[in-house]
Formats: sequence, structure tokens, C-alpha cells
Amino acid sequence: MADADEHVIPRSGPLPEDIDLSEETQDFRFLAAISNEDAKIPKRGEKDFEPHATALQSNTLAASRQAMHNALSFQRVHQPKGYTTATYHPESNMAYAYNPKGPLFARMGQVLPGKDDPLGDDELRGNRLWLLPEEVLYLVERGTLDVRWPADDEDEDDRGLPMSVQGAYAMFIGDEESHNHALTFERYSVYSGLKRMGYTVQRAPSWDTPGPPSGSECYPPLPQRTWQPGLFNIGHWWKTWFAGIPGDLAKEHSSDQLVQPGLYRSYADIYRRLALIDYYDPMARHLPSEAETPSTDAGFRVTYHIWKPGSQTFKKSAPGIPDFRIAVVDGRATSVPTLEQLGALMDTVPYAPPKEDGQLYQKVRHGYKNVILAIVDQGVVSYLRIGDAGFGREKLYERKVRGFGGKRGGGRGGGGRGGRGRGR
Amino acid sequence: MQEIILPNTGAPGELSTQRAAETLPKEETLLPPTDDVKPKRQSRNNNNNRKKARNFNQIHSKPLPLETYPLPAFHPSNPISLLRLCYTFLLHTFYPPSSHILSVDGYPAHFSLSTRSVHVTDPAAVKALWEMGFFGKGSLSRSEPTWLERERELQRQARAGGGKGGFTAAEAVTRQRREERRLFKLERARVEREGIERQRAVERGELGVEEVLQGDEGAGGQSLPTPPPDNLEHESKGDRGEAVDSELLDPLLAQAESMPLLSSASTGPPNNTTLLSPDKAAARVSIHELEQAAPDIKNQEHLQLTLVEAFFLSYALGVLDITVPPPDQTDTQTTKTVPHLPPLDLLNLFAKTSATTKTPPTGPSPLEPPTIAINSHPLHARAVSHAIATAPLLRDPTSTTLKVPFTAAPLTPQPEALVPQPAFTNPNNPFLLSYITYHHFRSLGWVIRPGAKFGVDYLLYNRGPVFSHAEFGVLVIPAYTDTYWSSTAEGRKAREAERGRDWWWLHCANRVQSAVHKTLVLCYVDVPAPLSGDDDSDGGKEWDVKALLSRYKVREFVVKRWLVNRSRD
Repeated sequence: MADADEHVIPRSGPLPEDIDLSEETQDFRFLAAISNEDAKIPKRGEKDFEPHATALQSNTLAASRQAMHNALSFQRVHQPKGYTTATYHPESNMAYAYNPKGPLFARMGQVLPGKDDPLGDDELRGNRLWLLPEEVLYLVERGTLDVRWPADDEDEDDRGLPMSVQGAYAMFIGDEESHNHALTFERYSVYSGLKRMGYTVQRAPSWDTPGPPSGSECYPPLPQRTWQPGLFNIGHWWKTWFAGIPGDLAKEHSSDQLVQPGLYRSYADIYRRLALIDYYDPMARHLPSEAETPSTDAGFRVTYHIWKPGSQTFKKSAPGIPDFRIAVVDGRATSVPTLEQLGALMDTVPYAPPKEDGQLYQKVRHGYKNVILAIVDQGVVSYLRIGDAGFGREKLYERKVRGFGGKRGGGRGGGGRGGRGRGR
Repeated sequence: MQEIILPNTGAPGELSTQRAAETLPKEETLLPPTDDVKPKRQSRNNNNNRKKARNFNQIHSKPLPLETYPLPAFHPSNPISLLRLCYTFLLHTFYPPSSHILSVDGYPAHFSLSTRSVHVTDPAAVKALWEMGFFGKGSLSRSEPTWLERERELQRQARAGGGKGGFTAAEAVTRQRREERRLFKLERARVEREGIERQRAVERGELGVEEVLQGDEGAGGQSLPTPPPDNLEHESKGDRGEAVDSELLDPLLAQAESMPLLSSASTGPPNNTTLLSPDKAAARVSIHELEQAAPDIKNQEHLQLTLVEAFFLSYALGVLDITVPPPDQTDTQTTKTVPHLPPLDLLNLFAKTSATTKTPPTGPSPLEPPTIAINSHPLHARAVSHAIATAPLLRDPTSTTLKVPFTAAPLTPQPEALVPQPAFTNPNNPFLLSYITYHHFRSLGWVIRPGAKFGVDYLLYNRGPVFSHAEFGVLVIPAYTDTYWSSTAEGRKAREAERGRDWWWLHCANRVQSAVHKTLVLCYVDVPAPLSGDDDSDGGKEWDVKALLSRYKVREFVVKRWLVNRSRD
């Protein structure tokens, strides 16, 4: 017998689901091997730990380095067809483009209705795509968009000066103070990181305000019946006759101990007597009668709604339910959230319970509500998924141990003493 | 000088044995050439000398040290079962047995101030407390109190002249496995080295390519030896000589996660003689050769219960009888013992013990404060390094006038002022917070054990450490939602510790947990406002422990790292 955890530290490396390839140094030799026909993910090579002074090793190393140089020296060109120009609009700190082509614009930007359009409801409004600051910045950095300053009269053609990347950064992030304090460098880091991975990212309603009151999707559904099976099951009524004498009826109540000596039929009875601590039950919260604005802390609010890259259901006009919700947190300005901050943040997130018949560990790990915190520390982003676990709802002592207690009649007798069989 | 024993640390004896084992030749020296390149596969099943496997399901069949009396099964087809059922029911009605029959007056234990723990020495009590609920830790063992058993094995082995014997103690089995693993690694390194040598020889032109191929086939066509067929444990550290650090912790491969049962005790291969360092073995053999008869070893080990566990056993279950020596005695004297303390007083005592960093006026001073500290407040390393960097240059290097700013944030949440207060006026006590979490998870059915091994406060097991690995690591975080904590000055002072928890700490904890395949759980304990101690002569007595404890609230969150790459589909 051993304390099992002594063995657990696996030097073999992280689990497959924990490997984040963006943190590893890539081996570019495999890029050359990828052709269009078979685009499989190549296996990673073996790792050498020290120089062997063999020619084989140094040749391999040289080949890898050369492959990396080749990959990086690839010249990127812009196609004249995809060339898009946008114009900067200083008052709203956005940029607009007319009918931009390209797959990127299918998921970015929006056409504003007449009353919202800062340039008014003219005949070009339907073709005018307005891009938010983070979108513009991302596209400018990427090179797909050419943003121009507003045209002056003394310009040669009707287009203004081109805006450089530095200028774009200065305007769209630096100048936010004069607008609405909303796009910080942290938020932009998260945005560009997620966009590069292929996600569709949109601003959440609580971008710069506490957001709308939480609707009914943020609370568990009301129970349909007042009584549920398990409270009084017809098949087990006869067992209530044999429930046994609880200990505290036999003796007078003394505050010496919680579990009084007495006759208990099963360990579940004893555990029920131990229940003393008040715990938070995620299924017990219900929609308040009057809608109240969320009391979220400004540092902990849902910032982005994101959809997976292959999402079929996303349309700009009707985005649908986001796959994940990201709350961008400044790692240097905040510390680990307090219960109020985390609780308020959880209140704004929809209720997403685990499957009823799932395994115990999966249910607890999945949680009843979840949000992803993107903690940005000077440009390095780390994502943590926080879930509202409902440990109190999973009572281990009520789980039937596999291997005994199967038969109805024998259930009562077998359930009491521990026995053989795999515990879960 | 009184020996300082810190609770929950590994036994000193263990470490020295392991260090001695490290003086055996490291991997740079080649093993003597063997005909068979593959390491011998230790067949664990047909080993005649090992002891019978222990049936953990039977041993640990009771989850708590209480007895239950379920009614026998009723089979409608069998009329005798109905008679049996009625007989048992009537017997229980007229002569009701007690759940506390195993510990009629409670298992005896005594409170030790110097170690801040409760010691249990009665062998029946030790066995019962470990087997039924996994309470406590053997003071000279890794977890289960096996010191006596191991000493007897060593004696027996020495008397038998170093013969083979199957060990059942966990520590010995682990030592055995580590030794095997080390030999396997030496073998693997040797084979790799040979491969590299052959490659070099080819390039120098000494060896033709055909000879290399023949050499490869001669060696069995394998480039690396296969690891020993231990499906419970695999280390794959690099081949560097970081033996000391990694040998202290026994790693496990991911696929072993799927094995819920650990039959580690049942697989004890026989060659144990090489484990002891030569001088130690010789010493033992020489001592034992002198005494022909088998001496009866006095058990030097006791079961150490943390204060939280002791309070749970004593108050919630009522199976422990804790004797507290009065403060004017040292622990060793037992001339006068205090009668059984009521739970509230016990709670106050434990709370006081956990809260004070200064020792009470009488008695020895067991715990030294950490060296980088000001007035017993340990300082954050960043604060100290900042102070050193900005400090003015000292002319005289021996002067000790380095001033660290007193406002540096403390490393851990600091306990309350040094004057201990009763529990109900100071609910922010670390003992109470730990106890609330402990009781909460115990009452749900989890087996909860201290988690200092993995940098968390507690570990949650489904049935126990012998059955499966812990699935969750719990960190206890106090929460102050009551308006008292934001409105008053004392409340604000108590909340200052919240700023000490930064994101780096959380990420460290999370990384450690994911490396050991556990999930991190943040358990927020909502601390209620303190009760006014105006009429604590009366008011204190009116509040019982149950009312005090039910004022707290617990909320858990599960933390997991989210990978952008992996969630794309």
C-alpha cells in the first residue's frame, strides 16, 4: 500500500490535452514535407539532449535550421484583387471601407443602420462597412487593410495619407482615453491572439458597461413539479418501516457531538447527520422578480464572445449563442478575484449544467456555469476556465457502489456495509 | 534539547536511506557486460516469497470509525430470509446496538502543543483510525503507520542472513521499484551510448555499414531496452544525473491513471538486499547478531492527527477522547490531566494554537520564525530583493542596518494579533477556515487529506489513498462578503491578505496540479462577522459549536487551463 499520490508526478510530459503547441519550438523540416494532397499533422521528431559529435546529428540540425530559414524568408505578397482601402473616422475612432472583398470581412465589421451611421444615411450607407478599433488594428497589422487618414482639400487624390502601423496603434489604442476607455492593450492582445487562431470574436454587451440584466438563461430552469421521484418512491415505502431508531431520539440532545451513539442502518444516515456547513447550490438560484443590472467589478467582466473557427451557425446578422465567453483581466492590476467579483461575473454567464447521467468527476469538473478568464501579463496571455462546481450536489455517500446493492430486495441490506466491488 | 518534529513531513529515516542509495554508481559508469541486453523482466506473479496481497476492500470497508447495522436482505422467494429479517429487527428494537461500539469511551489521544497536533499511541486506535477513514499519518512513515512492521521485517531479514523476504510496507516496495527503475535507466543509457559510438565509428570509416546493421540485429534489433513491466509507475526524466531530486518523488505515466486499484503492496519483488547502503546493513546485522532471541521492538511511532482531523473526530463523530495537558506542564509529564474538554473549549484551544505565532508564556519555544521576517511577518521575496536593490551602499559590510520597508505585503495571510481571542469573536481564524472546508467535504463523503505534497491545502479522494489517486486539490480562500469586513478598520486589516494572492501564485498552483493530473478547486469560505464579545461570560456559553460553524458558507470553483489550440473544433 502506498499513498498513491507519491507516484503521480509524470516526467513523461504533459497529457495530450495539455500540450500547447504554440509554446514549443517548431521543427520546420516538416513543413517541406506537407503537400496539398496529404495534409496530416506530422509527428514530432526525437529530441536530443546533448551534442554527440556525430555528423548525423549536426547534419540534422543544419537541415532543420535551413528549413526554418526557408520558411521565414518566404516572401508575402498582396494580391491586387484583395487590396482594400479604409478611411479613418476620428470622431468615433473607427474606420470604414466600401465593399471590402475577402474571407476575413465575412466575419468582421458591420453595416450600421441609418440612424447609427456617423456619416449619415446617404446612398453609400449600405456598402459602408464599419470596423471597430481592434478589427482595424488587426487587419492593418496583418497587411490586408490600408487605412487612410481623412482626406483634406489639399490632397492630390481624394484619399488621405496612409496610416502607418505605429499611427494605427497610437490612434486605436492610445487615443481611447478620449473616447470611451475601452480598448486597452490587454484586450487587443487577446483579440489578436484569438483571431489568429481562427476564432470569430465579437464584443460582449458588457464591453464597457456592467451590461444588461441577466436574463432567464443565466438561471437554472424552475422545477416542473413540486415533488420529484426520490422523495417518496412507491417501491420503497415499506422500507420506511424499518428505518431504525435514530440515535438522537433515544438520548437527549447534547451538543457534545454531531453524530450521537445509536443505531444507524447505513453510512448514508451518518453522513446526513454530519451535514452542517452551508454550501452554495448552483441550482438553487432563481430569476429575481425584478431585473437588476449586474454588479460586476470593472476588472472582471465578460469582454468577448467567441465562436469556434468551424462554426456553421455564425452569421453576422444573427450570431447566435457564442461558444465561449472571455473575460479579459489585467494580471498586473488585479489579484485573484474575491468571491464577490467572481460571483458577480458568474451571474452574467448563462447556465450550462453538465449531463445528468454523467460520471461524477466529469460533472464536477464541467460545472454548472463557466467563464474563461484571459489573464494578460504584459502581453503574455494565459487562459483559465473557471467553473462553478457544485460539489454539494454530488453526495458521494449516495452513489451506489457497483457490484452490490443491485437487486431491489437486497438493496437495503447490501447498501449498508461496505463490500467488494469497484468503488467510484 | 527537544526534538522538533514538524507534522506532515516525510520521515527523516526515509530520506537518509534514499540519499545513501544515491551513492551507488551513477549512470556514467557502465554496468558489467551481460549476455542478455534486455533487463530481466521481474515476474511479479510467481514469486513464492512475497506475502499475500492485502485486500483493501475488506480492510477499508468502513468509511468512518463507526459501526452500522443494516437489516439483512429480504428475498421474497426465500421465506427464511423474512424470519431473519424480523428477528434482526426485533433484536435491534429491544437491544439496540450502538454505532460507537468500537470506541465506547472514545479512542485515547493527547494534544501536543509543541507539534501542534494530536497524538494517538494506542495500537488499536491507530489501526482503527487509519483503516476507517484514513485519518492521520504515521509519524515515522510516509502515510500509513508502518514503522513497526518495517522494523520487524528488517530484523527478520537480518536474522535470516539477508535472505529474501517479501516486503509489504509501502516504503520498502517503493524503494524496490526505484532501484529497478534506476537499473533500467542505466541500461538504456548504455544502449544509447553504444548506438552513438557505432555511429561515430561509421563516420570515421572504421566500421562498414553492413557491420553496423549486423551489430544492430545482434543486439536484438532494439534501440532501447523496454522498461520493466510496471504498469503502475514510469519515470522518464532525462538521462542526466538529477537522481536526487527525482528519486524522492515517484512519478507515474498517464495511462496508469486508468488503473483505479493500486496493488502496490502485492507486487513486492524479492531482491531487497541491495537496497540498504552497505554500512547501514552491516550495522544492523552486527547489532542483531548479538541478540539471539527476537527482541520485542517498542513502537516508537505514533499516529499524528492534524488539529482539524482531531476536532472532526472528537466533535463531529465523537470517537476521540483528547486529553490536554495543562499549560504548566510539558508534554511528557502526565501526572495531572485535565478532564475531557467540552467542544467549545476544544475549538478555542485549537483556534488559539493555530493563530498565534508566538508561543504561550510557559513551555518551550518550538518553531522558529523564518529568517527573512520582521516581527514574525515573513516577507515576500520580491519586497526583499527590491529593498536590497534600492538600499544605499553600505560602507561597512558587517553592519546590519538593511531596512526592508515595513509596508511590504506579507507572504501569507497573517494571523490575527498575538492576543488569542475566543473563536466566536474572531471567525477569521485559519483553523476555523480549514475546519469548515474539511467538514464540508467529509460530510459529502469525500476522503480529505492534507495536500502539502502538491502545494495545495487539501486533496480529495473518492474512497481513499489506497484505491485511487486524488482527483482534486483544494485551496482554501477566505471571502469577506459581510459588510463588517468592508466597513470597519479591523475588517479592512483582515482583508489585506487578499492582495497577497496574485495571479502568479494561482498559475503555479494550477500548473502543479495539471502536471500531477489533478484538478484545482478554489474553495471560498465566506467568513461571517464576528460576534460581539460584550457578554462573553454568558454569550459565549449560549453559542454552541454547531451554531458557530453553521454561520459559514462555502462555494467551490473549478479551475482548468483553457488551450486556444485545442478548443478549435
